[in-house]
Amino acid sequence: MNRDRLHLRETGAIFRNGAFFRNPVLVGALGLYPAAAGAFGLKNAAVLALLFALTAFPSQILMCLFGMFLPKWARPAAALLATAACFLPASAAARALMPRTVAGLGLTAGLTACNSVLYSRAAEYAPEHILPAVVADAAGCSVGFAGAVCAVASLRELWTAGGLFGMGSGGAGAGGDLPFAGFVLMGFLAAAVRWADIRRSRRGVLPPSGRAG
Amino acid sequence: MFARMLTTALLAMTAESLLFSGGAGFSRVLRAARRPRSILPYSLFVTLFSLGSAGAGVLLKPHLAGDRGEFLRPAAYAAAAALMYLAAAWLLHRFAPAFYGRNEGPLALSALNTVVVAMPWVQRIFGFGLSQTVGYALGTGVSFFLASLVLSRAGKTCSNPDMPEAFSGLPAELIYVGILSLAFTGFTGGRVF
Repeated sequence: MNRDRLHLRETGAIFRNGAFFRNPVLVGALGLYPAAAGAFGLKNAAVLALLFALTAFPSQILMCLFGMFLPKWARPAAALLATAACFLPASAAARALMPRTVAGLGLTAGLTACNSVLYSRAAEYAPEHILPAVVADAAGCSVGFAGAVCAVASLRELWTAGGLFGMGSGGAGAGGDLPFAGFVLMGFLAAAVRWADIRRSRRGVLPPSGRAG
Repeated sequence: MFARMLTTALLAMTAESLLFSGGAGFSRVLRAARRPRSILPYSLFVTLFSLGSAGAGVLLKPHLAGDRGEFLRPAAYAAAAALMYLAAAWLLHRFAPAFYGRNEGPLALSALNTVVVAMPWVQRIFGFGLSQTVGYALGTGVSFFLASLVLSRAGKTCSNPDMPEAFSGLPAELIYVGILSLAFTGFTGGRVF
């Protein structure tokens, strides 16, 4: 019973780290491209988050189960092949749910197949960890990625359109849909996560997560 | 043909830069910038793999037509990049193990990244011919090198102890990248990709 509790607590910590304290986008500086170039509306962010989650779970589970049997020099390629293969059903699901948004995203949606967060977790984390940890990590990173892109997209859509989900009636200014706005907003959001982490460490809970990646 | 190649290379570094105007590849640029000695091999690998990826795009084009092709395109281009890396890694691992050992990290990260996999798409978007494709890949490699160099210098500034602790390091670097991207937006006046 105690062993199960410890196991649950550890997987909970892995999930929380992926979702917030070691957020892959805002702390790990991975997956910057979709957040900067594609997340300029909540509908876009929803599609990107869905594509990410539906690709992350199967690709990381595959690499967890089979990655250790591959020579180390071949693992990066295997990870990318796994994410590319798992991207296809994810893309089909996203197209079925939001066909116009997926078509509008174009290049940005397609490049989810080589998203650096997905590649990094599949190639470096999944082969070296047990299945429950990998599933918790995939869930945490999916929530973390979704949170980052949705936060960036909301702020950009409010600035350019004055409302969310295309229901705005005129925003404060133009240019919010350009990559520079995404990078600047990610900088401020990354600072907010760093601030929360520093407060946590000062309360004596844990040392700061520090620079990841 | 040579003039067209040079013009496209210049565009790849400026107005049509995948990195600054498109926002692609900065995860890898930041990693390269944190290890200044790896910038040159990183950039060379990015250039070579970009050329290879563009070539793969040309070869795959007849097989990726129509709706089915559009659906399979992302996986096909990513798979092509993976196979290119596999071939390069096997060859180096077999015939130049010392070189491979020193450059194992940059080799994988430069081959399997957004900038390289985006090459065939860029080719389609702009309707590039052979010389323009070669020029764009070369220009992207130079753009990657310059971006990494600039950010490696900026790293010290972005970790200044006088800065608020929450902004030190990555948050300041992201804002810095945003300002650089804003400057490049001045060349285009809007979205390119």
